Amino acid sequence: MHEISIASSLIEQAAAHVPEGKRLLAVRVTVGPLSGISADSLEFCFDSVAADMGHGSARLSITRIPACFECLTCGACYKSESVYTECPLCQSLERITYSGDRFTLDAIDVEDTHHV
Amino acid sequence: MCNDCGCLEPGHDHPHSHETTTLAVHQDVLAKNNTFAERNRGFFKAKGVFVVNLISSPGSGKTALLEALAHHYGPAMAVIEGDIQTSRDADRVIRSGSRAYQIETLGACHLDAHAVHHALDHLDLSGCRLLIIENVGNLVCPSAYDLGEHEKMAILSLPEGDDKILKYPALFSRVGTLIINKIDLQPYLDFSVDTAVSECRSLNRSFETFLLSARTGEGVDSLIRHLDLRIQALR
Ligand SMILES: [Zn+2]
Repeated sequence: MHEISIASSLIEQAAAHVPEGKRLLAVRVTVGPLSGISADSLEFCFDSVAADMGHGSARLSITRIPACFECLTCGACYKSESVYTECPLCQSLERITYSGDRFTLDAIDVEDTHHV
Repeated sequence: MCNDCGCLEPGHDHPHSHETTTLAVHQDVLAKNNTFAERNRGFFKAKGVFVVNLISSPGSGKTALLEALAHHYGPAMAVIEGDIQTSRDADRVIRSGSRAYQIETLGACHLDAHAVHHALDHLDLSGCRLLIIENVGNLVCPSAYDLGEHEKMAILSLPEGDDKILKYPALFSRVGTLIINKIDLQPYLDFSVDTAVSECRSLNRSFETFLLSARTGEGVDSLIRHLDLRIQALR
């Protein structure tokens, strides 16, 4: 499992965007089914890795996106988070797979650490 | 520490506001790796060497294949070994006349472009036409990391079963070459080559398949012809 090393590089990358005097509250990522990243494993280890790196307040927010398929038997286009999903119209697996390899850091949430 | 907000102010009243702001980032999480991969790619281009990122499970016959290729290419081939389990096999590749360098992966489950970047300092590629980067032995973790290679080559051996392709879509959607190894065991195993190939085609429309037995040598010449074409295309 490489999600621990992924989590730490993700937190490092997110932390680099935190302005001075702010604290990291949320790390927002998008994970596709062909990314090679297990969203569940990443979710599972994130909090403890974040705490170890001094970002105990940071939470992970994952948007899971589907891959897009074009059926070569009937021409239908369909989306699924699982590559096992056959064409919903003709049950064919003859298809072109278009996307789903995305793994991006989309945004971070930060909050002020100054006191009024 | 303040219990309400975790700030480092000693216990204080809590009228202060914590305003949350969302900042857009829009970056590839593997951006750092990709930067090194691009650097490696430039280096390989300058050297005129064709580079393969070889990915497989333990026991797929990777070492036998490397030996067969080293036997054919001799000093025109170099290997970066990233698989600890087969580290002793570097000697066998070197004995066949090819160059090899072992990366200390320190238990990592994949190679990244930065590790390869440093390995290149230790490998003399003059006169070398083919560089094979032997990745850590599993089908999951190496797939997301671009090393700067020209193509990913995956080995699936018959005893592993024909149901592995969709189980590892990140890898098989990215392969340029699919090697189905241990084809000499076909009479004894219930492995459908058609199933494996069509499932791979369901993820990826641009790969070539080679059926071979690295042990007996059957089919290895077709793979060599393929590699020769790719090497020539660089010149
Ligand atoms: Zn269809």
